[in-house]
Amino acid sequence: MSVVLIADDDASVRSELKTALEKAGHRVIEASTARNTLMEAQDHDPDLILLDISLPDMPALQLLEELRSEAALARVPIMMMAADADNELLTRTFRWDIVDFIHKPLKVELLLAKIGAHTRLSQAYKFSRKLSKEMYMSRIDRLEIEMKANEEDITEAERHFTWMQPKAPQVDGYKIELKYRPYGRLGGDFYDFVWLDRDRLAVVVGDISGHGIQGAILQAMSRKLVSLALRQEEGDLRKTIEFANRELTNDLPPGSFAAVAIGVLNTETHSWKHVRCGVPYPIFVRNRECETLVTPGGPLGLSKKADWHMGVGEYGNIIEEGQHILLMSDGILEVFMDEEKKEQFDVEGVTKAVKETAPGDSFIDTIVDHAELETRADDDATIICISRI
Amino acid sequence: MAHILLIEGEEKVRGQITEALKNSGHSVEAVENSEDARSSVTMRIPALLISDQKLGDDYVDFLDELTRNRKLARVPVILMVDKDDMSSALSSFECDIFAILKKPIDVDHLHIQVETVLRQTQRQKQSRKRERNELRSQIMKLEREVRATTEDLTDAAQNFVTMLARPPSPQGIRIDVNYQPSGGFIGGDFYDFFWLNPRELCVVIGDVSGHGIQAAVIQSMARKVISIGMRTKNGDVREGLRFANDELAEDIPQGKFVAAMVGVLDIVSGHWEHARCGIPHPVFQYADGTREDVLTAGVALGLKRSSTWANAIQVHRTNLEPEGRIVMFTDGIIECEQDDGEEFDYAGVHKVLDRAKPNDDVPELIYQAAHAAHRAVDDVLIISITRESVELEDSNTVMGFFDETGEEGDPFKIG
Repeated sequence: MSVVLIADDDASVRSELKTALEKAGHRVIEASTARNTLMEAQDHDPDLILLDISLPDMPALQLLEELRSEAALARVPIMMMAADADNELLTRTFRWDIVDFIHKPLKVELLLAKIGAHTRLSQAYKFSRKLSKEMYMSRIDRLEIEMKANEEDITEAERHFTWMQPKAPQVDGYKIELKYRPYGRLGGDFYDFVWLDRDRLAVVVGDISGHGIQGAILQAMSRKLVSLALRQEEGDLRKTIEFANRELTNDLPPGSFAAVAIGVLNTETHSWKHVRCGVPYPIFVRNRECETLVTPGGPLGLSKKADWHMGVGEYGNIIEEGQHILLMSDGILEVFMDEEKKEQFDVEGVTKAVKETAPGDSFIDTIVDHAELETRADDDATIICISRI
Repeated sequence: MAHILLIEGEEKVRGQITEALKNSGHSVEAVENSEDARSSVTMRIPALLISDQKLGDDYVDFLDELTRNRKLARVPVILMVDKDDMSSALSSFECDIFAILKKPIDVDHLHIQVETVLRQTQRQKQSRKRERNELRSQIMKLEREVRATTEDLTDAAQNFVTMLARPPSPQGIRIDVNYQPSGGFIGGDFYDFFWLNPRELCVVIGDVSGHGIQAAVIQSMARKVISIGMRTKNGDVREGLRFANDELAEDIPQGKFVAAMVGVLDIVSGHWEHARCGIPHPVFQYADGTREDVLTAGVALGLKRSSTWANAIQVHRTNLEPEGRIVMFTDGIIECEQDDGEEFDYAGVHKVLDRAKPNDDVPELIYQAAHAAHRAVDDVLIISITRESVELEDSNTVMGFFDETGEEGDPFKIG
């Protein structure tokens, strides 16, 4: 059954048309004003609108434009009705966007025939549009089901992943801050804090090659492995990386590796030592001056040589009051600072941010701000700052 | 500008209308009858058809053909009728005519009507196009997102497979594994094989609660922890599991747990010992074909760190005689629903074992019997260890395995 909207302020015209159209099998909606016409048209998606040219509350042309501006109504055929239409009005009105012009008084028989033809065309169009839309919608439905399954899986993993990330420990005389920002929802960067005994705290920053789901799987294993190795080897850094490297060369898929920096802080003697294997050089900060601590060492998981760990350099120092150690993954240094992707944040960016950090403010917050990490990073990024107060 | 097909029997009228339409910038194909019209529409579909009404019965058939042809059904039609033949015009409206023009044709009126029809058609086309484009772009966006996740998962799945240990094949021992993560990519079930020393092979089978990505993340950690636990505790299954429980309880989210079974096989003497924590108990099959479900106590790992946790673990010790077999599995296979609505369960495993021959790939037989490819809703992992009927009293024979691969004496080497 087709739907015809009659818009006329003359109740007797509406009534005459309604009776005739209903008899011919159409469903009729009535409106007596232009505003009402717009509302009814939006609500009922008619197959045809019979519109009187002189509705009281709006010029007909304006009403036509408003009807056409609605995406869903743009294609509805409109027949204009007028009494005393001269040729000039007829020509002018046809220039508007209508399909026919009906003279009043109405010749109902002819009008019904025209309405029949237009509503049939309109319904045929609607049907063909519906078929085409259904075809697209079934594809959309299938994709949405697939997306939902993936989404649930990733959301659940993200929830656990977030929960599993260690918290920065509270240490008397020290302030330990961290920023961990996975690229995407799961990441291949990792970090850890491991108490080796009452005084010694091991700090780990790591980065698995790749990111996303496989990065997350490998980082969970690597983090645990480094933690176990540190405890098995009682904080001996060379032995720790030997242990971890031996395990990872067996475990990681070909071509994958784990870059890592492992440091041990003695909170009693304030001694600090670290090894760095493939992640950026740690930075020592005193009086807001940055010193890059260059030591040799490639990532874990690539070399099966028994003496591989002997080539890794070890750094040692005492952290005095007001001094800091920064450990980080490459995600923060490799942030591109320009749209052409030529200039990276790099150590210079960190050095500048440290210099410009206001007294009492966090280095990490300034570094993250300067690097515009939240918007620019395209890799996982991790940075840890150990400050002796 | 539109392509218009004009059907008019009178040459003079045809000429006048053609000229008028061409003057408005349209391209016009003017034909004399419906037969010519038929061949014209096969060459080029018009945007509008203007036709005289007096074309005979064949013309009505032609209009019918138009409405039935998917490509032509939406071509609007303007009918030209004689001024005094309105009753016939009225019946023509039954044929989905867009408008009627009275003859003789008023050129202004013709233009108005043609523009009106073309505008309406154009509007409908645009509306369809807009709607189609919106739907297409929605599909493309979804496809991109699904593709990105699928690629991420495929990457992870490729590495997932390479990270699981290849089953070793020491002389006299046959090990078969069947592992199918639910969803086809990555899963929470895991297994491991590693040598504790040149004679003792450690076998691990495990299942992290849940499945999918989060389970895969936890299993990578659990597998490593159990492996290190067993090696540092020199193959003591209870102590190895205690170590793993203590580590995992600290690391995995609340409510998650790891069910696992760890076994150690002396490949020379056939001595076997295992402990099972929360995973289905294994089934032993002896040389004479008899079976035994070996039930032992043990709670899943990772729920609670407690010094007494491991006390509840029962260790089962036996000797795996030649032609004897141990079958281990996670719950994914026994929970496969069968045609009768029942689970595959131990009864299904027993049936397969009763029919199995010594050289059969038992995990594959079980997988097929349970129709797990279609029925499993969880990860499926089945391992069988069969001691072949070869006497291996000389330990040099065993060492030969290590000599071949050049990995002699490395107790941490994964097979």
